[in-house]
Amino acid sequence: MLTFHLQNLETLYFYIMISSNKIIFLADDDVDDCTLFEDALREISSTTHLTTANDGIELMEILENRVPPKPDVIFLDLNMPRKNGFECLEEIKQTSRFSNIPVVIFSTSSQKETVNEVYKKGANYYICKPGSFAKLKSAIQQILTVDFNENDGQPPREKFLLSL
Amino acid sequence: MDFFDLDFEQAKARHILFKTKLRSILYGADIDEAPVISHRECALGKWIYGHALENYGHIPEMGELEKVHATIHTYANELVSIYKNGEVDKAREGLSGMELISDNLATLLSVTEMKIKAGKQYDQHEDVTDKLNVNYRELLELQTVIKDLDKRIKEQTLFTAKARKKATDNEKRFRNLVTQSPIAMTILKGEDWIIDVANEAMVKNIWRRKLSDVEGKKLMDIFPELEGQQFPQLLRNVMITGKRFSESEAIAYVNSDDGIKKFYLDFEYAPFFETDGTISAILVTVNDVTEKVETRHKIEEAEKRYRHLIETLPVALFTIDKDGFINLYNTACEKLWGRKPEMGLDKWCGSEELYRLDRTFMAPEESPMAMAFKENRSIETEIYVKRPDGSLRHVIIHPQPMHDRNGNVTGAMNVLIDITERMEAEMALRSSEEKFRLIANFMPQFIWTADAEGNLNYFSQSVFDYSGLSLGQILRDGWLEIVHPDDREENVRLWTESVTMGKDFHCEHRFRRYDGVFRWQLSRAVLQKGSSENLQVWVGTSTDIHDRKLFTDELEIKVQQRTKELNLTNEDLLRSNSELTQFAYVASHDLQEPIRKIQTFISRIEEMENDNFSLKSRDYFNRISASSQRMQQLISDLLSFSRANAAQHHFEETDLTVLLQNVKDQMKESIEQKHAIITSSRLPVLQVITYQFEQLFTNLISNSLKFSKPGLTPRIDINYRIGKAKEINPTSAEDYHIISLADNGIGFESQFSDRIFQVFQRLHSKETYEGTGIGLAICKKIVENHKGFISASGELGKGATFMIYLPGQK
Repeated sequence: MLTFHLQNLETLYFYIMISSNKIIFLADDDVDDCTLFEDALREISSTTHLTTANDGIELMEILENRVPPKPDVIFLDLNMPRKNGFECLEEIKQTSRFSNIPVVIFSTSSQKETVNEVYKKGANYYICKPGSFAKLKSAIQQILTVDFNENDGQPPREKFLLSL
Repeated sequence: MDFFDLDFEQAKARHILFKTKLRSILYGADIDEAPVISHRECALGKWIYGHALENYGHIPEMGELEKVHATIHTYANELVSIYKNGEVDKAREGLSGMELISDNLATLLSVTEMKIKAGKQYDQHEDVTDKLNVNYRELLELQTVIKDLDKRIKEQTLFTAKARKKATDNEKRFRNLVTQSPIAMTILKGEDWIIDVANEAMVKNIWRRKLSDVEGKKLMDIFPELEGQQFPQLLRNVMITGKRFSESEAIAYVNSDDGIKKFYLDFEYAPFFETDGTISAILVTVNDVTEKVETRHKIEEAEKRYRHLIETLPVALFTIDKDGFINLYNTACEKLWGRKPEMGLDKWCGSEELYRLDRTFMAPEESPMAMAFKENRSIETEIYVKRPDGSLRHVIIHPQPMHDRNGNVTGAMNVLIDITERMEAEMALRSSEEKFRLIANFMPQFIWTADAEGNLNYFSQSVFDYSGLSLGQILRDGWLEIVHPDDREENVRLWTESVTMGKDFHCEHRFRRYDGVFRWQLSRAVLQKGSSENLQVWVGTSTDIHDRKLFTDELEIKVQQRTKELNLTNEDLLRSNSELTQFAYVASHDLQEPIRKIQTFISRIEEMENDNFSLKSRDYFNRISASSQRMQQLISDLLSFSRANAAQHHFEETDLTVLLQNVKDQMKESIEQKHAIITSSRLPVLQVITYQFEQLFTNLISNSLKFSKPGLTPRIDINYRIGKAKEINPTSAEDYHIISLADNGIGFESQFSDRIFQVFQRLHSKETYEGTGIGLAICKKIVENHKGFISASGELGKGATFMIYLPGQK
């Protein structure tokens, strides 16, 4: 049984959001990053369920085998061996079964060309991997509060790149 | 003398009287016609019917006589009628017939008398006899007179007949004359001007008809066009007055099949008188002078034109009469003299004064005109004519005497040509040519000229000095001899092309020096276009370019060699540069990841173990954190810098005003934080790599904000103009887009103006101003990517100005 200290309505809303057990997929070949993501996510919510894939092929296999139920959001690294993030994004958005699953790009670089490209391909948000744990938590937290049913799941371009 | 003698002599006398009376009537005498016409009224008739027939009727000859007497009167009556009919000649001719019958009557009278005397006794009646004797004498006397008259009349009649014959002959001859005359003639008879006769000259030449068409016809029927001309009236006048009429060069229009023709005619109308003084015909004589008149008209016209020509001749001309006085001059002459000569006063010359070419005075009587006249010869010479205003005209004069048909000098004509301007021009030309030759001969270059056909006709002294040839040798052997044999063909080709096309000549060829050495020359020639073809002249120069040409050739080889080397080096450089860029990108990109993780873990440790650090550890840990942050910044900037180098650039038309506004929006936070004021003028629309220009403006503004002066509101002024890039490229005439950015920050010492654009170069310690020293290097790179330049100027403590030059519109 959780006891809530209600500070304001926003916090309440946040708890409602995360209280419904969310399924989150993460595709990243970097073990450190996976560890950090898991740590951060655990500190934010204990009710989310994280599945990690180490490259694009693994991600697509998991999607094939485990959906439904659909994940609430996929965090996708771009630079991965075997099958990279761009290819995965394209496949997901072009497969009707997966096309409405929100995809958040989770990458080291934030080159404008790259950001533009994935926006065009239908990615829902873009997180530039931050250099501080606090910022990482903040980023994940922001994504978890997004209602992807709004705006067809994709924000306007200027809000696409999450500012940390 | 007896009674019968008396009676018969009386009868004979009475017959003679009758004949005399008849003749008188036929010759126009106004007497009682009855005794002539009627045989009973006649005196002889009275004798016959009074007693002779009764007394002598028994003589048969008496009866015969009575009949002949009656016949005589019938005949006489006839003649009178003929006469009265106007046939005078015919009537008179009848008189000779009358004489024959009359002789017959006289014979009968004599026979009767004879028979009576033979058969009768003579009764002696003395007193009757006396009386009768008186009558008889008287009668005898009368008879003598009458006989004499009769004889004269007979003679007269004969004479008249002869004259008539002669007249007939004359008329025949005259008709022949008319017919054969070369002068056109016709005779118009009667009131109706019947064409009686016309000769060939008239019919063929004037009337242009056949004789048969006009003969016997009325003049006015044949030539109705004469009505309205003067001729009918003139003819009528002649008919009335009987005076001949003549006129010269009368204009006549005569119509015919070939149309109406205009004649000039000398003609005469001469009346024909009959013996009784009446005018029966008019002789028309016509001399066709049309050709003569027209010729004269032409001559008159020509003369008029000639005078007009002289008058309007641009050449001055005047003539003198046999006494030397001017009698004709034209306008040009008057203009040349500058005065009007006084006719009949000015002798030999109409000008104010004359001077010889040596400027000595020349009296009019010594003038060439006077000489030509006096010595009867043509002269051509030059003199000066002085005008009343004192000016001298240089004139060629050409006086020549004029002669009549016999070769006597009747005057003289003088033609004057003003050559003052021409002489001045010639003088100027001569002096300019002298100048040209002087210059040409002083020049070390070869100067030469050629005519329009390309024949060289002048060479400056330097040509002779160089070639060792004389002008004669060059003209004899041809200038081509000097040209190197290998260059001749091309030389001739180029020269021919220039001469034919009239375009400038340009040729490099070798000329042989006096010592046999060939040296390279650059020859050029241009066609000087004169006012006419024969004034065109080619002016050419040849310059010794031997050393220069050898040097240039050598240089060219060297340059080619060097260029090749440079190209190789350049390729190497490009390759290594590209590799370096790629390396920088990959390195910086891949380096980002570990440093980010280091930082994340540092933050993790900081969060979790903050309270467990010893004081010393705490310090070390902070230093690790700072270093990693700096490293992260370095990598990030390095990445930007290498990206500015990237090969693929996408240029697009961009409104820099809009672009700058976007940059300012993005930098809003830092600008507000510094309370900075940024002003900018209208910026151009240019072809740029958009994101690079965003970065350029971002970096420059960041730079200015970073180095703002503490305690002073930062101001940044961004301006734009078009101008020359004197500071960067003083020789370029190209226009540049110049964007300047000036701030009021801390500035820098001008000696560092180049250094600030170099990678990792900083003017301040990183403790004072954070930063990696890459921002402005990126700016430089970006501007260079756009083929432009960037420069910085500054003054310590006053501020800095950055100037961006971008190439203008081509």
